[in-house]
Amino acid sequence: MPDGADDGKKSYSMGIDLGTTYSCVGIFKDGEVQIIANDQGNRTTPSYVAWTDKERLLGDAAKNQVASNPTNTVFDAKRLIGRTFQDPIVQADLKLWPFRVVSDGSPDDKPLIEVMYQDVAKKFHPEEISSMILTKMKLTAEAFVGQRVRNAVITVPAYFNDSQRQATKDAGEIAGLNVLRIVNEPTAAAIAYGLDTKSKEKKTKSGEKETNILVFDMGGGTFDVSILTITDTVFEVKATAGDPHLGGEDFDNRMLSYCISEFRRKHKSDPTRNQRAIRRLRTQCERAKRQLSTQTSVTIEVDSLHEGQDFNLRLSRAKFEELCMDYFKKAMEPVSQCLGDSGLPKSQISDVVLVGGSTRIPKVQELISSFFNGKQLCKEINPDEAVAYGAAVQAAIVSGTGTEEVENMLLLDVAPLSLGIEMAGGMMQKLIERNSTIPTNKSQDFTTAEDYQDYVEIKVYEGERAMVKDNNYLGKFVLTGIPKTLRGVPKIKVTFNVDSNGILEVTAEDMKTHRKGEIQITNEKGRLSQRDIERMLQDAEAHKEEDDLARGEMMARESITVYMRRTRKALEDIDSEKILKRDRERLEKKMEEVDLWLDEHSNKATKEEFEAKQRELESAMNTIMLKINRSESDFWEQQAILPENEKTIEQGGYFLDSGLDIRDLIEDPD
Amino acid sequence: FAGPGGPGGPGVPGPGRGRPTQAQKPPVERYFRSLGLPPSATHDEVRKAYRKLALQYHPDKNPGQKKAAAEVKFREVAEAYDKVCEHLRTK
Repeated sequence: MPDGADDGKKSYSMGIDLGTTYSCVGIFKDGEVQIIANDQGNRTTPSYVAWTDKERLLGDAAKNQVASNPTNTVFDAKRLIGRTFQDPIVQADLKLWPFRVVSDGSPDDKPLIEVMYQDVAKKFHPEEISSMILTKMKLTAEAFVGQRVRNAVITVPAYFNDSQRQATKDAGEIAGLNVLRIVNEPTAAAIAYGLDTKSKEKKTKSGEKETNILVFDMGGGTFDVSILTITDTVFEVKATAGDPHLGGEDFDNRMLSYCISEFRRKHKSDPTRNQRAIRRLRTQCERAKRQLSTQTSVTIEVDSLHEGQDFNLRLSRAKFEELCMDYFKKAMEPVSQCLGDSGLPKSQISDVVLVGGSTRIPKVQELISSFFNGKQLCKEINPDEAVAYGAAVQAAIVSGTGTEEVENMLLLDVAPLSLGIEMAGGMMQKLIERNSTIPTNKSQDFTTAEDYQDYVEIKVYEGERAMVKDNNYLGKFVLTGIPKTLRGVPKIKVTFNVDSNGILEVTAEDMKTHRKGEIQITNEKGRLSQRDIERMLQDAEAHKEEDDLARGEMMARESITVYMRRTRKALEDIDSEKILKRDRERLEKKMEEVDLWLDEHSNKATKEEFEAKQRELESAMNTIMLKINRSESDFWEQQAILPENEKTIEQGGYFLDSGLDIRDLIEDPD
Repeated sequence: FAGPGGPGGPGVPGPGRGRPTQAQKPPVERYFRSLGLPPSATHDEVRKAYRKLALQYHPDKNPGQKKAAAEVKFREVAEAYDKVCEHLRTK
């Protein structure tokens, strides 16, 4: 049975692009991929979680209130996941985040995010924050298909290392998902590209045509380059490279620093410690950056930014490019590395596919294009949705819930980093070379270095450098019970196994005693233990009821607000002749009263109270609308000609004064 | 060589003077055979053969009980493809 199928019932599997700044979910349904809009009607959801005095907010709701609640609004979990607190990247990011991050104090040195919720400090692992975002995406998918969805493919940057992949998978489990597969983002985007081109080339009859493409994927926080060979149904990744910490947010930060220094210069005061000011300014910088992709200059304006001073700055596209140029140039390095690794010359790349919001930046496009000697870039696919699209296709492939066309497809992905163990003198002995097709395993025999040595310690690293100290340490384990003998006699077989998710498992076996030791590497360093995951899963479940309650209230509140808006609009639109002045005033008074009530109660009212309030308003409205309609029907009455032998309601028949047959209004019981 | 990690330290970084005891490299013909090809095959033929075998043996295409056996075969094919490509590049 395919991995994804539950009981006999048709089950869906979703693809989730879990982004640094935005996330997106797609599902394969009725023969095609649907990218699903959230409850706000948006096809991407901010990867934000916030805690207010009363409730937890996710996605748009969390991002929308960030300026008023900066310290309890968490984002960028993807920049923390699978890293240690002391990681220099984490230490640098810390200075820019308005929320608090601390170490868990254990030898693992895991980072924890601290927020205040109902006057109590609560700490969360980055995996938990990510799991909350995944939950939001899951709810979005479930609302769309109208049933539970548990199976998911989650994407990660191709250049994510082992710990980051494993931590992302853990986040999925905490969200109660059955993680079918961890897929690399550029690979997923390539699927979207492949299906798109294929559907356009239907006529030219697909044969064994080979196409080499380069996917340039630069999003909010991460950057990947992958080169793939695509034939009819097979997507083969040749090489991948990237920077797991480079993206749109870095450009925002550059603009922000520039704005702060301008503010300082003009007003001789420093807003750096004013979290609210910084957040407001950052939001405007992000907006300006987007605008600069289509305009050549913008004005960044924030009223009363700090100590009553307004901020106002004209910024040209050229200035923006100057501020970020080193980042843009840095992004070209992985491109040449990836090309080199693929063994393909530039001329053999037939399409350069742009993915991720940051590829909208004209300078970025210009640099890639000129790298490929002025090549036209492919902008056919939606840069914000392509990854989720491909993930949804992969979910259908793996779970066997797609069409025949989809199920014939095959993805051959690679491990992004070399994997090996420490040898004498701190040298790295690679067992798996980077860009090896996964799943893969490699074994090598080792022996002891000392006479009568009865155990060996195996330290595992990933990276390309010759010395292990320059590479990323993954973990270690000890194989004991080796029969004591002269050095060089025992034979210890070390096996590296990289699964389809790109996650490593190492085993060592003494070939004489067949004693085995093994680690799921990431258990050793920074990874959550199974117990941690279970506890968090329970926490999340417990939270769910709270959330459901809060969601009920939010929806009821939303419903009444929408109703108010519609009523106001209707009142404006109604012909003044049709409505009595007195009625209009009565309704307006009622609305005012509800407005006041909302002001006072909207943070503490229950779902039922909201609903009751809405009913009050509705009945007031209906009374008046009835009057209006009646006066309209008065008008029609003069023209109404009743069919023969029919009577009006007053005469005991089915016809209104207007001549309308009320039986038409009643739905047919069939 | 640092020896057994200093006095009282953990065991010797075992694979210390690791001695790969693997037999000498198998001839490249074996890898061609794994792909079902004669050693005279061209790069194009190799790529085609690999894709066909990958579709046949990739674990994603062999769910359930067949998975483990298919995965072993897939790894063999992938390794053969790697080695043959390397051979053709340096030829």
